[in-house]
This record gives sequence, C-alpha cells and structure tokens, in this order.
Amino acid sequence: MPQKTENHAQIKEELEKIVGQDWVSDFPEELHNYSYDMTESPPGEPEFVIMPNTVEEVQAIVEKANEYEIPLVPFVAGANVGGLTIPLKGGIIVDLKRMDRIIRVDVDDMYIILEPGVTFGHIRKLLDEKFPQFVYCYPMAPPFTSVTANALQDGLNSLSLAHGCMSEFINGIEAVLPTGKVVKIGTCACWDEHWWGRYPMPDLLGLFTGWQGMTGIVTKIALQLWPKKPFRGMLFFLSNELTPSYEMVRKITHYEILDDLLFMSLETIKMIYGVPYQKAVHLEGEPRWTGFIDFSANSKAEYKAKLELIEAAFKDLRKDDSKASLSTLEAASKALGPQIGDIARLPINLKGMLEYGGLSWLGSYFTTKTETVVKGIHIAFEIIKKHGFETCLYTRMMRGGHFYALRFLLRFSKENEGEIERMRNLTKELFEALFEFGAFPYKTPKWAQDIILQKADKNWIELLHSIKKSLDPNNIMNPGRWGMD
Amino acid sequence: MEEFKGPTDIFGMGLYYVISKNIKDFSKYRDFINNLNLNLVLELNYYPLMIKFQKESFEVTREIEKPDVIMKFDVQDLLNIVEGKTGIMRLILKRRIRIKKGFTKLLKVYKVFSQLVS
Repeated sequence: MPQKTENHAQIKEELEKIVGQDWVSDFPEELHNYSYDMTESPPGEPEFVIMPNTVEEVQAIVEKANEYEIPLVPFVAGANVGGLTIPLKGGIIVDLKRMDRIIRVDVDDMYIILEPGVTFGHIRKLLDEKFPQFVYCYPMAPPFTSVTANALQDGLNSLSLAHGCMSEFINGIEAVLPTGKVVKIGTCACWDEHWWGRYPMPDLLGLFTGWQGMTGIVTKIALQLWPKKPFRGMLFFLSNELTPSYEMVRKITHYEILDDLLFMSLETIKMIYGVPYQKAVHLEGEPRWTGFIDFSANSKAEYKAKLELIEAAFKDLRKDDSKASLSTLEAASKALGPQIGDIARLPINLKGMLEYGGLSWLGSYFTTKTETVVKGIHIAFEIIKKHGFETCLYTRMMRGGHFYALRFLLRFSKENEGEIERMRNLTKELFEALFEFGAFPYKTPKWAQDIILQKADKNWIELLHSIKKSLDPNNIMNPGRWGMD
Repeated sequence: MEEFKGPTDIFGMGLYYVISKNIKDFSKYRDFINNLNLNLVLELNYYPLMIKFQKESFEVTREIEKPDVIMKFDVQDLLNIVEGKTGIMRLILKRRIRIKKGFTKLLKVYKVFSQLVS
C-alpha cells in the first residue's frame, strides 16, 4: 500500500475539483498499474493518479502539487522500457491519455501538432487516411505508445537513419513548467499559427528533451512530417561475418539513399517470429546476422539507381561472406514466413517480445567506429550469455551515420523466481561494460544515472542540477533522477 | 499466446510455417500433401533440412534419415525463385540446384514447392 501524505484526503478533494471525481483515483487496484512497468526496475508507490483533459487542468494540477510539495510524474503508456514513469518518491501520476487531440497538420511546412496522449496508432491512421502524401516514422513499439514521449526521450524510429533521433523532429512545444506557467518553445512562442521551427532563436528545447519529465509537462508538440515518395523498396538480408556486414551497413548509409536500415542478430528475428522464451538462440550453421533495408524514390529510375547501389555493396560483401543473401522483404516473407515482414509494419505489437511479462532493452547511442562496435557487440554477447539470456541485438545507423544505436532486447519472465534479480545483474554489467566503450544509454534508468554521475564532467552535473533547481524549486517533477533527490 | 509450433532454426521455422499455411489455405495442396509419403532433404548452403511428409502430417527437422530425395542449393537461389527472378527447373538445368538422390520423384517435389512460391 502506498504511503499517504498527511493531507491525503484534502489533496484528493482538491484534485477532484480540478478534473472531476471520475478522473482522480487513489484506489490501490488502479495505482498498482502505475507502480511498475515491463522492466526489471523496482516498483514505486504512487499516491494518486489523475487524468487531465486540458492544459488549464495540467496547470492547476502543477500549482496544487507545488502547494503541497507533492511529486508529479507525467505518464501516457508507460512503455518507455526504462522505468522512467515509475514514481521514485510517490506522488501523483499525471496520466495524459485524455489529451489525445491532433490539433492540425500544416501541409506547406510539413508538420503536425498534437497532444501528449496521441499514439502512434492515431498518427498512422490519420496520415494513411487523410494525408497520404506524408509519412511520420515509427519505433519498434506497439501502436498504443505515445508519440510525444518518444520524441522527448530521443527515441529511434524508422526515419532516424536519415534524420536522427526523434527529438530532431521537434519543431516546437507548449509545456507547463514546474511552477505552473505555460511556455512555448520555438517559433510558436511568437505566432500561434507558425510552429515551423526552433531557429534562429535561442533554442530552449533542450530543457525538455532527455529530461524524463523532470522539467515540466509538455502539452503540445509540433513534429516534422516528411514527403511520402511513390516508390518504396524493402529488402532483407542474411549474413555471417560481423565486420564485413557492419562495413557494408556503414557504406550504404553513407550513400544517403536510405530511409532505414536495421542490422540485427538472427535471434531478434526469431523473437519477432514468436519463438518461445529462451529458444531464440543462434544454432550451429545458421546465418548469424540479418538486416532490413528500406528506401524510397520519386521515380522508377531513382528506385533502380538506389537498388543498384545497394546490390553492388552487397556483392562486395559476398566477397568476404559467400553465403550472404539479399532479397526483397516480400520474397523473404514468402520463403520464411510473413512475421519477417512485421519489422516493416510499424507500429506493431510484436508478440514475441512482450508476452513473457518482462522486457528490458539496454539501448545506447554509440560511436560508429567499426572496431569499437564489433568489440562492443562481442563483449555484450558474452555478458548476456553468461547471465543466461538471449542475444537479441537490434541496431541502426543514426542521422546519416553520425552515431550508432546499439540495443539489446532482453525479454524475461517475471514469474520465474530470481529472474528479475538476474536481469538487474545483467543490465548493470552490460551497461558498465559498454559505457567504458563510449556508449551512452538513452532513456537512462535511474541506476545507470547514478553510475554515470560518478564518471561525468562535474561542471555538466552542476549545470544540470542548477537548471533543474531553477525551473523546479520545489523539485516536484519526477524527482529522484540524475542525482536530484 | 498462440502456441509456437515447429522447429526453431530459421529455415526450418520458415518452411514449417509456409507449408502449414498453404495446407490450411489451399484444399488442393492440402489433399496433395496429405497423400504424400516422402522424405525430402534440402541441403542448403547453411545446413541440411529434412521435410518428412508422412500422409496426413509433416515434420521439418535437422535430423536426416532415410532421404528419398536430396536437393542441394543455395539460399540465395531459393529467394531468387520466390522473387520470380528464376525458376526451379532453370536452376536444375544450370546445376545451381543439384539433385543428389531421387530424380524420379522430382515431379512430386516440384508440386510441393510450386505452390509455395506461387
């Protein structure tokens, strides 16, 4: 049972006055859903959950939280796979699902403005039905996950190879500061009808991206859309040698012709396929690596030219890896099962990933240096196997090859005794090993933050803390993270 | 969660799924497979696989015993067939697919695969 503050009944009554009785709860059965997530992170103990519907209600909630100095944790789906919405200091979960309006799409400047409760399923449906000339991009996540949260947490999606992590797609935001003031960041600060960018003005977006909800609650966000080209190519490859395969990935990325390229271990495909837990392993003789290439073109000629470049790069790979194969994704799906194609049908509920109750994925952004990446993968695989888990690797070149996303999809069963503890031991050892190589974990869980704070530049830490203190003097916004208890 | 059936190696998994799906969706194919008694070995350039067709059931396994037909080929060629870039017969004639055993049963094998790649 969560510990109640002294003024619990009073606070509840005042919260109900803000949003209505139906949208506040302190029932243990309901709070339980917000106390944990799919990861190995220890559970928290929220005291209330509240569901506002407007920015004014969010403001009032924040003002109330300051009055009582009670923490607030913004929440939509809680699927961040990092324990970020598990309250570390109790308090109020601000569930933003009701704020699910899509405000508008600007067709000329190519952006969409939406509220934090809008999910990838919503945006996909809208674009497919009403704005087929545009694409957004999608993470390896179910359709019910939040577009805003993904962008604010520097997520990696299906256009990140070309354009970078998802915060790069943000044109502007409206946010309620920890003091209750509403602020706009970007050109929208000057004109409500213009949300086309953040330049050339002092860019304050960095006060909200990567901060895990510690600096305010974003109530609107403008995100870039991209033109949808008429011709699309989706390819699938299997390979065996890590270094030549990775070099091919890098080479094709540098051609600047791709929308996406995923490079994965075979175990990842097996997991996507639905192979049972602990059976997604690499068997003797099988291909070791696999990949998915996505590109688009404005004309048949452009399509053909891009395909020729990719095939030529692949032909070079086959000089070092004669068994490597390349085909259309469609052919691979026909030969190996349509589940192979699920990777291209995002957002999607990948059943093999989420069905055992537990999922952690130590994801980090990393250098692209071949030697470092290869060594990092080998070391990581040794550690994962040592702890008895599956080596499901999922990687992506980011922003044209400026950095690399290296991610290990670690599914586990929370029902098996001792497994949560084993997963904690694994993720800690994995993180420490990769951090030594220069890998920074995105959606950094608290336990990793504590380790990083021992190693990071002291002036950076000091600046971080002073900004947080300045914005949030009562430390109500998702407290307990980045050494800011 | 729906129970996972079949082998867990990548090619066995794929073949099992694809054959099962075609049996489920196409009655003529189902009738053909249900009357088939054949041990077919595919010697892929990665590892060999056996598909045991045993009237009314089939199994895909990496354990090879008593093959009736042995076909040796490259996974890239298999994908090229599915993609429509080439055909089984053309690859046999070019010796890209080698029939090491069971040439007389080739027509049955052709029927198994032509449905899968159609």
